[in-house]
Amino acid sequence: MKNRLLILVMMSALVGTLFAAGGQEGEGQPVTLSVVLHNTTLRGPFEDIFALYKAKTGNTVEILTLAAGEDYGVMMQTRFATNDYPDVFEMDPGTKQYIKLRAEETLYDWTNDPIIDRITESTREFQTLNGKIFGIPWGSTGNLGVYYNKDVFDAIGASVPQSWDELIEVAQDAKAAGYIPFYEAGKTGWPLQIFPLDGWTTYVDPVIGDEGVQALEVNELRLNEIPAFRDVFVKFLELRDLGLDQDNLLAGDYEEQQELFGTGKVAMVLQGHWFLTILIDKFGEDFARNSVGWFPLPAEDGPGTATLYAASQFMVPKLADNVETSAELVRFMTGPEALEIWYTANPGIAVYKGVTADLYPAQQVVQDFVDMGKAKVNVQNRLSSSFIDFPQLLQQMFIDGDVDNALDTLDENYRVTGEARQLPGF
Amino acid sequence: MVSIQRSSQKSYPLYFGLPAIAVFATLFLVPTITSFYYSLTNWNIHARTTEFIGLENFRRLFADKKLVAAIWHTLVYAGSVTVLRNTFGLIIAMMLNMKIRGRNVLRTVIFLPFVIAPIVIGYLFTALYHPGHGLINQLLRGCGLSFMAIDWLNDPRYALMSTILVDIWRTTGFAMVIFLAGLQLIPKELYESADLDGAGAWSRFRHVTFPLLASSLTVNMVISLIGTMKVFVMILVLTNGGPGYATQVFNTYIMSAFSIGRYGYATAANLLLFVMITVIGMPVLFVLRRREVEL
Repeated sequence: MKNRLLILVMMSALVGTLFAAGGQEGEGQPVTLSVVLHNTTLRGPFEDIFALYKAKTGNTVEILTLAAGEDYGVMMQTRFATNDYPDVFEMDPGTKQYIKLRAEETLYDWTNDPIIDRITESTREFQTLNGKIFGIPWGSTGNLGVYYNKDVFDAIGASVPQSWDELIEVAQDAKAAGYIPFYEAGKTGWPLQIFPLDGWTTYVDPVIGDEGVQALEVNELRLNEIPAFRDVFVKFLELRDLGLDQDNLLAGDYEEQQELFGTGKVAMVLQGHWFLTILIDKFGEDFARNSVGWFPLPAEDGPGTATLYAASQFMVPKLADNVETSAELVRFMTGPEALEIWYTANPGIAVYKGVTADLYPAQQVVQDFVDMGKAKVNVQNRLSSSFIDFPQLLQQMFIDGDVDNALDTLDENYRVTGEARQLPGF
Repeated sequence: MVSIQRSSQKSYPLYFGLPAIAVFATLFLVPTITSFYYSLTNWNIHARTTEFIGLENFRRLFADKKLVAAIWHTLVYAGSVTVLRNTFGLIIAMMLNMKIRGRNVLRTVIFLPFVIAPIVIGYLFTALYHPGHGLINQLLRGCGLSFMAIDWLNDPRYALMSTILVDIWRTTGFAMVIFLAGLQLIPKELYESADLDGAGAWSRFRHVTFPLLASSLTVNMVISLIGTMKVFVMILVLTNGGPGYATQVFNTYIMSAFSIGRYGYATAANLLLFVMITVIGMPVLFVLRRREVEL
């Protein structure tokens, strides 16, 4: 009987030790933190940063990646709803994410943290909602627009177009010389959004201004009531109707777009800053520096406005287990050593002050537009509702040529989403 | 004493069934019943509370043109796959019911696609269907049939048909197996009697084989109808409902509603799908059961 009692006590002690071995915050033991990233984010630099963090603190960081896109946000919301909080997670840009995640209740408040003083002014404004900041921006301000192959332009004797008509002319010259003027990844779907989003900053923002965007934000203006936006869709179809896209637009895919651009068969693509990173990876730094250029979609009578893609952000759930340790991790990630690692691997227009990065020529052009004050953040990042199903309805527009139906559907989806998110005015 | 023993013997099997009943109730019955309630609410991922909104979800469903198109595509898909897979399945079963060399190998080969996961089949055919370097178009061009080398999955005129063909290829083997089992139950004496009466091949099929295969036909048709009206994985992998909305079916429509957090609305759509399957499946089952002949 005594032996049995002794064995029972020893087993209880052993089991208790196993459960205690997790190392909860505040007990002075190293902890393991989970960080969730988009699957499109470069993992390598993060691994280096977290290795440095572990060397300094003893805490381990595990990376988990989830598929990027609208579903990423829904997955994070689902985890929040089930109290399955990661310690730190990357989130899409914009203060709409604060609304989605009910930031006041669930997220760490960074408003008065010293990190904020190291962020650029425009980024800090972008991250602020009702005077509060719940997400720490990460990386660089990206961009959307027209990437062009300089070798192809040289071969056809073209220069960067300064108007819509010049753009058409350059595209027609490229076609006559045997190149594909524009390659659209229609089958992949999401790249189709780039043209209308880039077109918004060049054609729509000058017409409706910030007041118009604010009216959209509170459902006082409808997307299908903006003639300038309709014109952008008409221009998009015009490229196809003039034969300036590849033969089968709806069969185009993202991998082929990269391949044909990199091998000099395509003159121009509508893409985002991530495209440059992929070109560097596939075709090397020399190609990216010497053969890749960028310009915004030109206006009717001028060079257009650069569309900026706001940086993603890191958030810390305040209901997770290791809140303070997670906040310290984010402070470490935004410190000089970690930023050095990140920007060496990912040169770009940094959202942090004092960071000097060796920009690629295509990125320098974006910076020049920013410096001239001719840049605006992508409209999707300025609105709390979303353009749901945008790729599908653009594909449908290319099938049936019905611009008005595409706009009506986009508007309907936008309002339904606003209502579902219980946004003011919807 | 004897009556107590008998009583406990009667209830004894129930104790063994209780765990399974509990799991069934928890994972199926309870969600099914509660889904009736949630379809009448504004349940969504963004809302802090869930409120009763009556039939508002259903009103919006019937007003959505995309749903109408999705229902149409679903019915076309279900009808085509059901009819064609059972037709081919029956023909192949009759051929493989004869004493031919290698029939067991052939039966296995034809059934094999059915045991491969639909998602794997989908990825396989995404490559086979590639308009440029897919095997199907390369073979067609090699045989001088370039005019048939279409863009199988990206041309809205052909995308739905292409997915239907894949599902027929995948599931014909299953229909064949069911029909084979039914064919082997038909007494040979009936065929001998028919031969004595001077019946030809068509008469034998019409008056002996087909009537006595009624129960196999019922199983195949009902399973096929229900399964194809719930089609999801094949469409998701091959076309994701595209190009545009050309291959959007009911379940991909429901998925898109779930993916933006509109859970109440998506639950209502699910309920509508359930009603549609019941309204179509029950009469089909009733009509086919009436044809069944007891051997």
